[in-house]
Amino acid sequence: MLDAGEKPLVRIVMAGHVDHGKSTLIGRIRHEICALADAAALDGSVAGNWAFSMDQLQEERDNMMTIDTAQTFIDTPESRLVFIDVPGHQELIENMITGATRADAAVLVLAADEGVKVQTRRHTLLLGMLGIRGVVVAINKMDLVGFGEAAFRVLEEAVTATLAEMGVESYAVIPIVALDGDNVLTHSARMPWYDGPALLEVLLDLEPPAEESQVTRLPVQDVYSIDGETVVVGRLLTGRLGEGDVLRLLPDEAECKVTEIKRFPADHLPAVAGESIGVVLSGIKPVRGQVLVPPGDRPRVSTSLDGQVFWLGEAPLEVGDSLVLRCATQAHGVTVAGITERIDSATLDPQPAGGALASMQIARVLVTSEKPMVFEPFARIPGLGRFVLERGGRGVGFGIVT
Amino acid sequence: MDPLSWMENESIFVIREAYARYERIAMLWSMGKDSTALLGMCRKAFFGRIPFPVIHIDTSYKFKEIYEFRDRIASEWGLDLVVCRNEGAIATGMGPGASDKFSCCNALKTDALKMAIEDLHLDALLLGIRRDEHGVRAKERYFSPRRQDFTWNVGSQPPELWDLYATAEGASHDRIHPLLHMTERDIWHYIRREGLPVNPLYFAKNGKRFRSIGCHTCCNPIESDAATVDEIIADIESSKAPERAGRAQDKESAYTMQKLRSLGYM
Repeated sequence: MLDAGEKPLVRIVMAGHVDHGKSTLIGRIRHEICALADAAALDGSVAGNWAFSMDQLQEERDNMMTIDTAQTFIDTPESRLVFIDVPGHQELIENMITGATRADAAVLVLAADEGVKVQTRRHTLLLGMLGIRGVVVAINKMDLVGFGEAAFRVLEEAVTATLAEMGVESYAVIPIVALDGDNVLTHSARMPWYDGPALLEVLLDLEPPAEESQVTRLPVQDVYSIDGETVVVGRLLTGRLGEGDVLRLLPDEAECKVTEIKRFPADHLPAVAGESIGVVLSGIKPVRGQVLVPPGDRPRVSTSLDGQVFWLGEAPLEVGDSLVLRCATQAHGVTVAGITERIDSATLDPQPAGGALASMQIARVLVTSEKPMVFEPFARIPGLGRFVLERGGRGVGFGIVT
Repeated sequence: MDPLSWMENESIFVIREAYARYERIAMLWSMGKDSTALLGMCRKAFFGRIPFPVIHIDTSYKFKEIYEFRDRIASEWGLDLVVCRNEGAIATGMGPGASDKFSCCNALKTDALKMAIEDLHLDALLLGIRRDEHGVRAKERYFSPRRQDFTWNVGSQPPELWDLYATAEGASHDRIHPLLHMTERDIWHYIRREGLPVNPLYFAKNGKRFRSIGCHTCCNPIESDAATVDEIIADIESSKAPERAGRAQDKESAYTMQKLRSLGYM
């Protein structure tokens, strides 16, 4: 067995419509891999009722419905899988997105007796918008359609069409019965016509996401005074950083040199993407929210930002509204200057021009700020291309820079 | 980057984010493995000197090894240690023998914690809880607001998107959970890699050791011969029993953990 420090880690969100079997599938996978026997002995209500291994709140069990997102960790000899359960109910979309923003890959769960439903479509769109590559489709409850191949092919065609419409690719479409474990870990004798992989075979082949970009981006998280020395701290989003490197501080445009890479205990090694480090810089004193970049390759610096926004707020978003935009370590007071290309997030139906952006609608939103914002396309540097819009300290929408 | 390093960097990002975003912050340290790992990460985040108080909620029923470990590490690492006890409840005889476990945890831990937060005027508190400890903790956010009456409404938590943490207006304080993404196994691998100090209660004596530590009255040891960190890791990797199987307060009745936590328990 690989050491825990060496095993690749992949985070997988279970997406799909309410009651299509997301929690049950995670519970069943846990049962199959970990042999949940001991836990079941402690809590008899879990045995055979796999969703309860995730749905641990009293309200969830009483209503047989996931309310909030939860995560569970499964170690296999080859890899570490983190399963993120999310609610499938429309009213709980905030909790679904909370879970999905932490995922590297997704399983889209679809009940064979119901097919593609509203949240199947909305969740698929969200997976595409959040940049989650690698979606596996599990067509669940095959027992309710008599384990038939013809029924499966119809559903496969429908879901493949939905994925294509939303711009999402799938690795595989697998017929399963989450409750009984058919095609979950091993091939099911009840569906001999299916010759593709079992779900876990596909999931164990998933690889952690590759590093997005080689370009250095260090958002300033904070500035400390350590023994009289000014130390800038932050997490390197992308690229590398070594002592002697020359950087430009945006939006100020001041140039500086890295005199020391600081860690505790000290080692002076170059920093790699994802690392939370300290740097000592010559000649400048940055503040939180600024971004350190190499002189030649720079993000956009502007007082106006145009992004694709998914709205969550109860009160709709209107032109002229003031909000806080959070992007990397920046927080800017912004004003909405335009809302265009408004669509419904499940049907993709265009909405009348000029209207406010209602909950669960998507639009291109133009915001302006007093101070310059630093950002770039999500596809290039995700950490500088995604943002949250807040009202009263609560996220009411999120967006990506295209 | 290997997963253990990725986890550490994720945690340090959360710790620094909390320090940057709140005026008055402190960390809760129980001297157990998780909060000691968190303490080690805080030292790394601030280059050796932790710039906020480290609070011990003392029920007066802790193992003597816990007090000894606390005083030794606090001195070695130069911590600003603050010990908080619900002296009123202790004086009236509140204890696991005098009451049910739910009331005892609530009085000696949750109420003592409330007093500490009020006394120190804290607006945020760092805690070493992990998602894999308990199904209710699996639902936590990294930045988790508590209402004015200190309660946690798990059914209506605010959204938390990527690492763009929101700090809700109108909360009494926010709980910050930098270790949510780590498992028990990860913590031990991290302790081994970093050479962090370990409370001797975790090591086997006469064929028994503690896997989860707290009050001596409510913690039961497990059968084990693991006497080193390497042996503890081997022990956990071959065991299927849950980590908190020896903790009495989790098992008193269904949903006790949810009820305790909704009232402000860690």
